[in-house]
Amino acid sequence: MNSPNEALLAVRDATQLQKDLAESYDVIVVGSGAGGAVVAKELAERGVRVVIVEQGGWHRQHRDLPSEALQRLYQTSGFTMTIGNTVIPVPLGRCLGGTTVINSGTCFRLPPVILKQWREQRGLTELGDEELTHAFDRIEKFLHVAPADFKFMSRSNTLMQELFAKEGIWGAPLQRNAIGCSGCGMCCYGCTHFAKQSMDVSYLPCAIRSGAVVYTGAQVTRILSEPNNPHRVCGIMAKAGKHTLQLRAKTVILAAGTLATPQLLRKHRIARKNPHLGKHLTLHPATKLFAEFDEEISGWEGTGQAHFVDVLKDEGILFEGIFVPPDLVGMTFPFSGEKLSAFMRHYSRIVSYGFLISDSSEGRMLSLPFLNNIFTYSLSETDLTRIKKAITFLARILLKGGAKRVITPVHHRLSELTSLADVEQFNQLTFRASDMEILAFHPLGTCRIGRSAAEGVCDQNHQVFGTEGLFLCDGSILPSSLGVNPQMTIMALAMRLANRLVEKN
Amino acid sequence: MKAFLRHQDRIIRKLLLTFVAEDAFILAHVDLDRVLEKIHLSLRALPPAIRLAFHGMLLLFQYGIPPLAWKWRPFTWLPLEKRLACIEEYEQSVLPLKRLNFKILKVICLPALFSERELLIEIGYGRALQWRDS
Repeated sequence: MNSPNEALLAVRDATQLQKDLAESYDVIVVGSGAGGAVVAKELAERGVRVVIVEQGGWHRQHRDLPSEALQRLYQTSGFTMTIGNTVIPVPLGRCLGGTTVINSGTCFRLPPVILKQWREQRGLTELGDEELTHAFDRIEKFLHVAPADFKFMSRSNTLMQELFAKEGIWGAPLQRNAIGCSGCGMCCYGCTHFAKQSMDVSYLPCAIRSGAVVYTGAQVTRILSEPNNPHRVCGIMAKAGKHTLQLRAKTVILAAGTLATPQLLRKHRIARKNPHLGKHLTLHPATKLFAEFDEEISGWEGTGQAHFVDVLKDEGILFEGIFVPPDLVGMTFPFSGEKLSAFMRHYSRIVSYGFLISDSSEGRMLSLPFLNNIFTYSLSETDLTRIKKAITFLARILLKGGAKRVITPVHHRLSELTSLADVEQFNQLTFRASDMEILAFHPLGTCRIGRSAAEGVCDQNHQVFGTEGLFLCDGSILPSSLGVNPQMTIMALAMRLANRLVEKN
Repeated sequence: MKAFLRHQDRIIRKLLLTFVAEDAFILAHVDLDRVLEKIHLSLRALPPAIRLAFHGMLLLFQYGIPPLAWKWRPFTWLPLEKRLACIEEYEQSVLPLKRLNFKILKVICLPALFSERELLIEIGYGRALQWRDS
């Protein structure tokens, strides 16, 4: 078993079980994304008997069209969303490897200023700078993290680099975990050539080679407690096709994702009185601008998300390259009719560039009778101001750089800007959150780490307060918005959890 | 089992034509029957609440339900100009709920239309598709 794919042949498809199954391990990991895969590999390599339970399936290859990949790889076919003063779609992965399969492979370390805030303002003094730096070093080496190659960047990115440089603004290639990326521009639909080091081609094969067992297609239905001690977990039950998978272990790690983990806890009445369970949801609201140029751009040729500009990072704004494939562009375009058809005909001349904001808004999980849990999130005035600032900043750069017109993500008569005067006029307008076309890719914080149950859902060793043997390891534990893509931070914390568990036993 | 009925089929067909203002270039490179089949397939994969909203929106579009919308003739009977005005009314509405419901129609219908291989090749996306095929 040398290549990642060969190792993955050992993945067990739970939907094919012929009978109910009961097995015992040392550790059960629920979820195979950035948190689950890393903690599983680290533990398995140290001789711990680990089983990973993933709800989605394993996909040997990614060859379909983007619109088809949405149904195959995304939770609820990409229809996961939060509801509040606007509706924000939150595309999340539902497959072996989780959201790392569908992200752009962008790797940022935890910004030191955020770690400082966590340590000084939240008292999380056990989160050591040195320990995390060591973890980041190891992850970057393992995932071959390197700056995106200008040679394989899409023209949309390189043109923006030129336009920012013309204005004297520093921009740089993003750090990515895509070794030998040939720039096919399909990152968010599963890497065509497995260049991106998502969990299913990096950490999971290593975990399997070290003895970890992986079940796909298994949905956790119960977290089991010891009969004589309801505050001590001892395993899980999962629905696997027509059968049941019963797994027992002294340690259960939930790494199901920021939206799923608090739902699992609430469903099993774990930490249900904790005032922070399902709250403090942050999203990194993000959006993009389209701009039409005279030259051929063909933004789909080359890596779409490969360049960034952090000139406004102190204001919580991070600009990143983005490209929307033509079959999905219609649904993110604020017009229909002639404007849409003309836009599609000229799509090869369109540049798109986006941004995310470090949000001050917070959402929460809401349980409604007879309905599934929903997540509410309302954009605050501060965040709306940030979004407007980012739009006007980008629009000016694009129009000064020769764009014929800029399409903003705002439903208004000024959705289309053709001159700097339009930008100034746009800047004077007041918008509501519901006017904006917003997406979010990084839900965080619904089970945050705290010093005590009064401050968080899990302790600094990731163990849920009041429930022995149950640990959390995904974006839900991060105590605040990061302002950068969070996958590396989640992986580093997973590595830290593995160290703690091995030390403990 | 079909995800929608024959009369809904007609509404969706008209909607698709209106979304692109019956643009000859686009329509020359798509097969509307196949697009309808794709919409039907993606609807079946969606959560029931979204499916329900989709069907509700089709009804709303076709007949109009006061006070959200009102029209003297069903959507499918209207000439293109009136249909475009109808769509714009939803798309640029000051009522977020109206815009959201309209968005559901767009999100389900447009990917099916713009994922037509021939159209993608015509707008220059062919090389990206070759990557995927290779």
